[in-house]
Amino acid sequence: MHLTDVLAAFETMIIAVKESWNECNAAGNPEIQALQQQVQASLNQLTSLPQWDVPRVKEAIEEVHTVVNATEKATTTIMEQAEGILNADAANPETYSTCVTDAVMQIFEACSFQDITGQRLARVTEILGDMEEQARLTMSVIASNAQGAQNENLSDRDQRKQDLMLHGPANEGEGISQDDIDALFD
Amino acid sequence: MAVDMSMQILVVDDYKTMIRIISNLLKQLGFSNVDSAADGAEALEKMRRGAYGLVISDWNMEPMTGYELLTEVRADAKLKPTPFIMVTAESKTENVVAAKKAGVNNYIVKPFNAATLKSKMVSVIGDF
Repeated sequence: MHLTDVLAAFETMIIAVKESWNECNAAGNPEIQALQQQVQASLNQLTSLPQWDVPRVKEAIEEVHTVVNATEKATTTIMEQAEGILNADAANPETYSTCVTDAVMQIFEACSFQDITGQRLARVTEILGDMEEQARLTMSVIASNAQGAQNENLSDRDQRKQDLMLHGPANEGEGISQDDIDALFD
Repeated sequence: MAVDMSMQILVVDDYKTMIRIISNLLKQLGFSNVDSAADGAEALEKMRRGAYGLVISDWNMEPMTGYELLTEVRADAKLKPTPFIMVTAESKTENVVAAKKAGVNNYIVKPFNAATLKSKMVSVIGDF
């Protein structure tokens, strides 16, 4: 099972639980009414916690897709350049040397995918960590062990990211181009 | 004035692969005296102890970001004149504007190629 499948299943589960609760008809049944009251008490406590952020799940899925595409693109470039070296004609040392140097430079540039995909996966890890913390707090409230629990660390981290403009790699079509950056420095 | 090809260049990035890539590109451009640091704090410490002709830094690092390193460098009387190029995946306009305001000499967005690195270096340290 892939990470994207896990995230998608988790999102589906959240929506299904909400729909099931809305459909439950407890009219006239004292046992179910008592259960509803207990659940309602927990829900009241849960509303004081940071809310589940389903769009972040979509963000994580998109990041993983982008990583897969970037990895494929880089691998293709590296393979093509390596094949170019293997197929180069070594009869002329000067031409061969130029061919190899050019190919190696292309390979170096392609290897930069590791940096950017690493940053994207760090974002996915962060989202999963936040979801894990949300789940922990939710379970604590349901078990009546953490009334009014707040995740201070989440807010401090997000504040620092905001203050220092730590957005990470942009998605395709977003972000400023090198040409636009150059215009700012002209 | 001719560029000193033996000057020491400091490459700052928390990804070892990126340090290796930039170091190899610099070597191809004729600069083999390259040092590295894994974050802004380590870079600042090295800069205070050594002498670097150019800093090439990432933005998104902890515990000190490249932006924080830049502001520290520009606030230090000894380090202030050091040429500083940001090489980063941070590509929002607000990042570029903030870096320029903080005194960055040029800004390269990742992914980049050797030609872009050379042209920005030429604009900052002169033709080579």
